[in-house]
Amino acid sequence: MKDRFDEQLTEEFKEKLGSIHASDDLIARTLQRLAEEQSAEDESENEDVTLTAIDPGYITSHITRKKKHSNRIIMFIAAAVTLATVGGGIFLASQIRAKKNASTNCLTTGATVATAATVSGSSSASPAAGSAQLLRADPERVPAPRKLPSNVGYYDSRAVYSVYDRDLPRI
Amino acid sequence: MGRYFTLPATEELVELYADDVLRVCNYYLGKRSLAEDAFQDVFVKVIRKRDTFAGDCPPKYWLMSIAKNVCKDYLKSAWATRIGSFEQMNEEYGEKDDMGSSKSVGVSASVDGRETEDMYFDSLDPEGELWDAINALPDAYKDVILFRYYGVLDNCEIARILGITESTVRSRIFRAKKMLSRFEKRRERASEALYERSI
Repeated sequence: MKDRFDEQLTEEFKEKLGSIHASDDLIARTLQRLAEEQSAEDESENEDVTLTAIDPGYITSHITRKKKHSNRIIMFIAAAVTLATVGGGIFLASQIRAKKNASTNCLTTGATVATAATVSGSSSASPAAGSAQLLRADPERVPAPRKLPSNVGYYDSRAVYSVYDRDLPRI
Repeated sequence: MGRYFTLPATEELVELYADDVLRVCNYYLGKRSLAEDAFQDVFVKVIRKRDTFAGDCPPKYWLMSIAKNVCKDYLKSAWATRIGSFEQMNEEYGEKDDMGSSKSVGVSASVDGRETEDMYFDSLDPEGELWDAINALPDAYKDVILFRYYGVLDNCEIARILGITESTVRSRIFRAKKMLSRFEKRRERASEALYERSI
């Protein structure tokens, strides 16, 4: 019974659906529409491509421009660094030279003061004490006239130089 | 390990399976003009969905499955609903569609339950044809019946194509056949009564 009903259903499908055929016109229309859809899809894909495909000449010029720009920046940085190094070197050298001069002057003047003290009859005067006094009265700082013990009298550091240079006899 | 199927070029698909696709569209939509519109949409969809073909079933059944989905989308669309109501109005004046059936849209209620069966039989003409009864089946039953009796596929293949379990296929076929055989018995009784009355 079941098999017979199955057969009946199969026959029903064959009879009702088997008689339906797609006409050539329908197939042709479908193929035409498919071609249109396909070309529309290709166009949309091509649009995407044009967005990414840039003229190689443009890329080359762009790269060259960027290279020039970055070279300029590098050159500028290098020049700035060189300038800073040279400037710094000169400054340091001048500083060192100034320090050197100051210490030389200090020692010499200390000795001079000590000599002057000996000459004037002070027994406690020594070159070290003289230089210590002069270091305190650094000529590069504000030179303030100082009052020495009465037996030494007033002196000025600059005056001391002058004493050394002109008045004192060389030993 | 099952056999692997390859999909031919779209033009070749149209040439080879045009009849099958049109038949499926006719089966679901019941009207030739609508079926021809859906037919074109099926192949447009095929172009777009070519990459999704897994190769686990012959292209014919893959196309039938796409056609089924396209037709269901047609029936769900607002346009088809309005056209349907217009056709129903025509039927009231005694017109019939191209397929010769009086009802083209099946019962779209839930698959299970006695209520569905009652609604199904209420919607049928007791003296109508078996084809009308098949067309009036709920969508889930129509799918399995199509692949079983038109596609001549076994439960396993139907399950794979429709994406449901084999036991679901079996139960749906069983229920659909039960409803159809009940319709057939009722139709026989009605024709016998008519014969006796004529005598």
